[in-house]
Amino acid sequence: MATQKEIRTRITSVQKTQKITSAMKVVSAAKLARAQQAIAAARPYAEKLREVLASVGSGVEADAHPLLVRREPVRKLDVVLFSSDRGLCGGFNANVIKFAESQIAERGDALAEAHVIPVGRRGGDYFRRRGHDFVARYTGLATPTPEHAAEIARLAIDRYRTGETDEVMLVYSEFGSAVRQTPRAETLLPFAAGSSEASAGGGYEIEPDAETLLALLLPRAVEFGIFRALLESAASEHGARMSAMDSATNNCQELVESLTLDMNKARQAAITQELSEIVGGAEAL
Amino acid sequence: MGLRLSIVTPARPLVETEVDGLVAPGREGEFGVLPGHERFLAPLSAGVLRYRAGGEEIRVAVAGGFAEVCEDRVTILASSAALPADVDAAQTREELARAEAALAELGSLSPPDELDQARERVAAAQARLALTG
Repeated sequence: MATQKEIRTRITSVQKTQKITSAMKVVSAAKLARAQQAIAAARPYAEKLREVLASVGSGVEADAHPLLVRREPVRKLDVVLFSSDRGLCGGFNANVIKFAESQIAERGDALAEAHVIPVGRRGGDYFRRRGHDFVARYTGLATPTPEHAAEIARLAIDRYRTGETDEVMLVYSEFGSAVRQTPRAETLLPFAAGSSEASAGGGYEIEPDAETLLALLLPRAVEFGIFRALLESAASEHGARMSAMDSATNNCQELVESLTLDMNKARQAAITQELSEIVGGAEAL
Repeated sequence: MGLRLSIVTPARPLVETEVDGLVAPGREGEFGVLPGHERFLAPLSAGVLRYRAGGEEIRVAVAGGFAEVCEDRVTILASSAALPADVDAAQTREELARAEAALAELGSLSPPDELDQARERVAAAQARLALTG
């Protein structure tokens, strides 16, 4: 049985850990709030972009632009994987990484090549340990900006245009709530311009013409697709970390309580022993 | 009855206001929009958009933009947009220098796409700088 002093030391150490985890929880909650605001701020742009794309897209042929053209069968796949730079966020990274692996495995033998383009340190580290080389990797995007997205979009568009890949897929965690983040896969390229049923605003005078406009619009749409994934992933990360730190704080509390109980028992045992020694000593006289 | 102008970017909605009229930097030259304009959709080049609201002229630097006019509503869809208060002159001057250097490095043999993008970046920085003057 541990001595009272040992138990007291452990209680102090667990309480210190608890202070750290609860501070991390508060920080993550604040960051989560900011990330959710960023998602909300992007919504008006998203809606307008979808509307404009649909009305321009309905006026052109399905293969009017190289980024719209499907290549069948898909032999070369690029997976842009959104993970976090830092750990201590529960199963956040493991979930999205496993999901990406299953997406690649699902394609089976149809694929000749699959390239992972990791965004976030954790996903990159995982695939590097398994001997993957990356055409590019990105870190330090905890607070995403449209410029970050544009940089990744340029790479994706280049690779698709030059035929280095037949499909570019995004795998990221979709933010549901602080306790729910769902891994999601979506095809970024070839780009799906959306159906024409949304073209209630049709009958536009389009200048100079639909094809030219589409060629300018598509890169913006690809950039925004990546930007949205960055935002969702950032919010999910903070949500996951907040939940993880919340349960860590609760676990610390439980541990402190059970250690306190142990200590009281140890103290009582010591008192009992002392008493019986005194009584025993008195009898011996 | 005026026009309803909204300028939205991926980072945030920047402007949402009633205006009397505006002038936008179209790719094929500047164009003005007044109430009662026909419905249309056009790409913008990186440049300065001006609008009049309550007798005041306000300038906004936009880049990667599109203008949609629909029943006295004008929506500007821009990759980035900045009001004069958002612009840091010193920082923008640096960006402009970097963009110009990048463009000079490309030379005339580079793919037209890359040249276009580099030119856009120079124009975007120039537009932002123009707001500070």
